[in-house]
Amino acid sequence: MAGHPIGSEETVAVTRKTLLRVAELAKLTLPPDEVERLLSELSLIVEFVETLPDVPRSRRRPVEGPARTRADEVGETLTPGQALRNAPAQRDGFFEVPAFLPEDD
Amino acid sequence: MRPFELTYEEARALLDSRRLSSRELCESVLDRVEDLDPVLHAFIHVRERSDVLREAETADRERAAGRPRGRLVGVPVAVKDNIACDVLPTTAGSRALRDHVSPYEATAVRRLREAGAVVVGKTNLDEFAMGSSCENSAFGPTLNPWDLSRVPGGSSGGSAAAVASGMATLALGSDTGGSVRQPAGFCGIVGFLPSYGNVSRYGLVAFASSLDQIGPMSRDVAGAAALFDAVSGHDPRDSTSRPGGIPEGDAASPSHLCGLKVGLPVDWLAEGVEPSVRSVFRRAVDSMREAGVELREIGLPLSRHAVAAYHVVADAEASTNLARYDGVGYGSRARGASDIEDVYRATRGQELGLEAKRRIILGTFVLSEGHRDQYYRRAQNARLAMAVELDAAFEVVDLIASPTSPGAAFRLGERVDDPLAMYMSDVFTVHANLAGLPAISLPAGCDEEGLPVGLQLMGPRGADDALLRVASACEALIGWSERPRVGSARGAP
Repeated sequence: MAGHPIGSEETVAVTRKTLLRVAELAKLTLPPDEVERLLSELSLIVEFVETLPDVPRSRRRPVEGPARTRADEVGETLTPGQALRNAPAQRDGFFEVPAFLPEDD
Repeated sequence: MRPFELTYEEARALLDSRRLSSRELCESVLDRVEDLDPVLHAFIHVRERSDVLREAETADRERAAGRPRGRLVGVPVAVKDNIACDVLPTTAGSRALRDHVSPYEATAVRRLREAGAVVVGKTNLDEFAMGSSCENSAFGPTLNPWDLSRVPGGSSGGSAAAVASGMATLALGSDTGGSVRQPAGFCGIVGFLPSYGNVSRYGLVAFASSLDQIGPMSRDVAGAAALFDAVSGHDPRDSTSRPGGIPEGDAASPSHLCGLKVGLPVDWLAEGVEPSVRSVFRRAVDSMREAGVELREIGLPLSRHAVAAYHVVADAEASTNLARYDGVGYGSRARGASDIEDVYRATRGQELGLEAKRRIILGTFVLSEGHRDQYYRRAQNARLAMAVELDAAFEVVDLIASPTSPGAAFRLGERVDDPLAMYMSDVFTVHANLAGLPAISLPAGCDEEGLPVGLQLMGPRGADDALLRVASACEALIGWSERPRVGSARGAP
């Protein structure tokens, strides 16, 4: 089995704890049957990608060119109306979501 | 021959000489859609007949006045449903976007309309372009017109099935790891992946931004070339779009092939290829040799890591690109969420399909603390090393040839429980995406069960027009023009 980076406590296969932690990072709720299924499939996939070699630095070619930039000018944008057209909930020209800040008392 | 059966080149000749009207062509195609789509499920949305025919009539008037806008005037085109049109929803095959109508149009769609093409509808795909079979769509699978018990391939399965069965003359698909070429191969049509940056990604629902490209699909190379010509070129709205124009490729005869050096990768062909695919491939390259091509075996030892590198990189990028489906600004939102975090988790949990979740989780995992070096950095380094290896190969050969896929179309349900087997159908296609190279699949024949087998040709970066010309010559050489016989919803073939 491949070596593990310093600080990693997981084994090669994806553990349930890892899966649930990663799902939380990705903000995904997984029902129990999906957890079981993903656990076995992801372990296989991770073992598969473990086969990637650690290619020495000298083999890399330079990245193509600098990123292209443009002048900082306002171009064509969506209007607020266009942007809100597909909102699941909107109010007074804003996207409406459940409160996430505590109410002032 | 019924108009819907005509290749782009045949249709164009008849349209130009006014022996066929766009109205007749579009009507024939719409009738075909009405007839077959209940069976094949290639389309998620079809445009109103009256809208399509009105545009067809405009095209006819332009032609009559001697003022056709471009090479696609009046030609019916289908568009994969991860490419934004503002007249029809763009669902990306997902519940999360099932009612989503984009507020803007993709550059590729705008350009094809400016070239006079008539959009017929939006085609089915694996959700967010993640898949190789079109079985991951939230709207049900598309069936292969050659055998209704089999997949059309993916993720551009709807576009492939539509073009193969005459429900469109041309189609746009998208290709991240093979999603234009593999379904083209499975459905017996031409599918082209342009060099990365040659077609604007503005308006393409992002899956893996360093790998995604929009590509044309057609029953003939001429159609793929015409559609590529119409949609390609620099776009200031896509910062990854290559600057400068692209020379137009013309059709070429088999004599064009004389002296061309074509590489056959020993590492790819050593094992894992179905015997009947191997023999179709062999016949195709033998006929190229007889036409004057010099075949050379080449070694690409690092390329065996391509599928692994692809999944790490693509899924990492996908985990970021799909973070936007959070129920806040657009798309569906789960009901009854009590706080914002709940909105995210419940929406994404309910509205995203299993394959999308699988890839998001793998992508998040390989980018997470403690794993990034081991997986993501290694994959990117391997990717660059493989690109160097391919660049070196192109100093020795002009093109690289292989089967498009190791097997022909597999059966529905066969690989849904085996993701690795599903991923391996991309074993010959991912290399081009990882290195940003152009590649094309063209039909080379059928296997023992009568299923189409694709020949893939891959070229050096930027050699799109040269590759299209060679493909055109090979198409003439191979001379394969079979069409699937599909039972219609009404019973007649």
